[in-house]
Amino acid sequence: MFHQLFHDVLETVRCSLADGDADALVLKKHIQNPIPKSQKPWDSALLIQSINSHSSLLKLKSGLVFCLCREEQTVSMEVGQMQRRLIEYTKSLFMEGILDDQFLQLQQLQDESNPDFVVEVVSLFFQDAEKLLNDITRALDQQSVDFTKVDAHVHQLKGSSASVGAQRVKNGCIAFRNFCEEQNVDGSLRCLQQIKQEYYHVKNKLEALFRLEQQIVAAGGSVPMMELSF
Amino acid sequence: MGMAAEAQYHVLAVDDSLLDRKLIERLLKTSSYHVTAVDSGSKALEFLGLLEDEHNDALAPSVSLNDHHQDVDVNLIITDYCMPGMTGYDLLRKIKESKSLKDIPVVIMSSENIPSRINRCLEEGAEEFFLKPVQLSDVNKLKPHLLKGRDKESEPSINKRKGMEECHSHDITRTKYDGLEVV
Repeated sequence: MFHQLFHDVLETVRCSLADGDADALVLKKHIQNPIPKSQKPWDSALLIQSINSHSSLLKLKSGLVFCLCREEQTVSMEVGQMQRRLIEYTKSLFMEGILDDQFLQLQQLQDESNPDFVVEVVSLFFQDAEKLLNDITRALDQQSVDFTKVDAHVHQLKGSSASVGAQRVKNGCIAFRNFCEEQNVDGSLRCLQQIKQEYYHVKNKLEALFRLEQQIVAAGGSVPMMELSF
Repeated sequence: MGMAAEAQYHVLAVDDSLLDRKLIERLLKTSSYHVTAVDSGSKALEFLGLLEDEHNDALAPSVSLNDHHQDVDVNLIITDYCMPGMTGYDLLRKIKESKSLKDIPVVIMSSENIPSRINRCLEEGAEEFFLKPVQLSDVNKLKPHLLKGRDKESEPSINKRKGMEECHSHDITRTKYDGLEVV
């Protein structure tokens, strides 16, 4: 029965990981009984370690570590694991060219006295971008397009995206300005579509990144600093 | 709450973008500067005690150059170039034309790497030209300009304007300048 219990736990954990979702898992229905202190590993698939009377660590063969909390009946990723996931996730955003070095610069400016600096600056970027994308859309929708206006909006968007390290959005803006110079409406509309896509993409990614950070903080950990070279 | 104006340098930052204002403010504060951030050239002049007027010299500014208690004590002005209304260049000119303010070092920031623009600003008396986004390594370059400014009383004969020769050897170390010819 105990084996079955943990098998269920593992399955749920595995499924959640497959979704790429790093949210803390709540498995009230699964953990019914207290976990015996001296529980030996079986199948060497997992190891249970009691860290105190409230929680135990569940280590999977793959190396993932989970914290089982008896009272709250939760299974959550151990903080170190969450931190490593965050770093991997952030790295992937750099590898894909979604973020550039400027984002790291922002992180370096964050400290205990300004713990929300990055989130605040990125929020300003979201506000700016959404307003500017609307303005550009409207301007391109006019009978007679005022490209000076469009260019001014794009210039602003380029600035904001560059300031937060949203590389693809910034590059999209650079390309857009060429179309403005040529007074090319079709090219501009295509470019706008592209920039919108890139914007929503980076927005989703950053929001996921901030959620990961929040989880780490909620679990009592600190948000790890990215190394500048990787 | 008293301000130790002597202990901390006071930088006036000018940028119409809220995001960039927040960023420059944080960069400067991290470097232990006291910061005032405004969103336009005219607000900057207002803060400096200089009303936007042709007759700059005729007005009595609230900025004094000596050690006695001052209403406004600004040690450096850092301004964006592209701003609606008064550009950073316009602001730079007004400051350099003002008897009371001309010795305050001015730094220009711009997201665009245009050599003729950069040159024009340096010729007009800007100490540095930073490409945006501005980074900590840029802010670290401000100290010598601030220290120079402090000595303005004792060495009036020093020409603060950069000559053409100095432009070429000017320490603009950002890689974006590579391959570009300064006209």
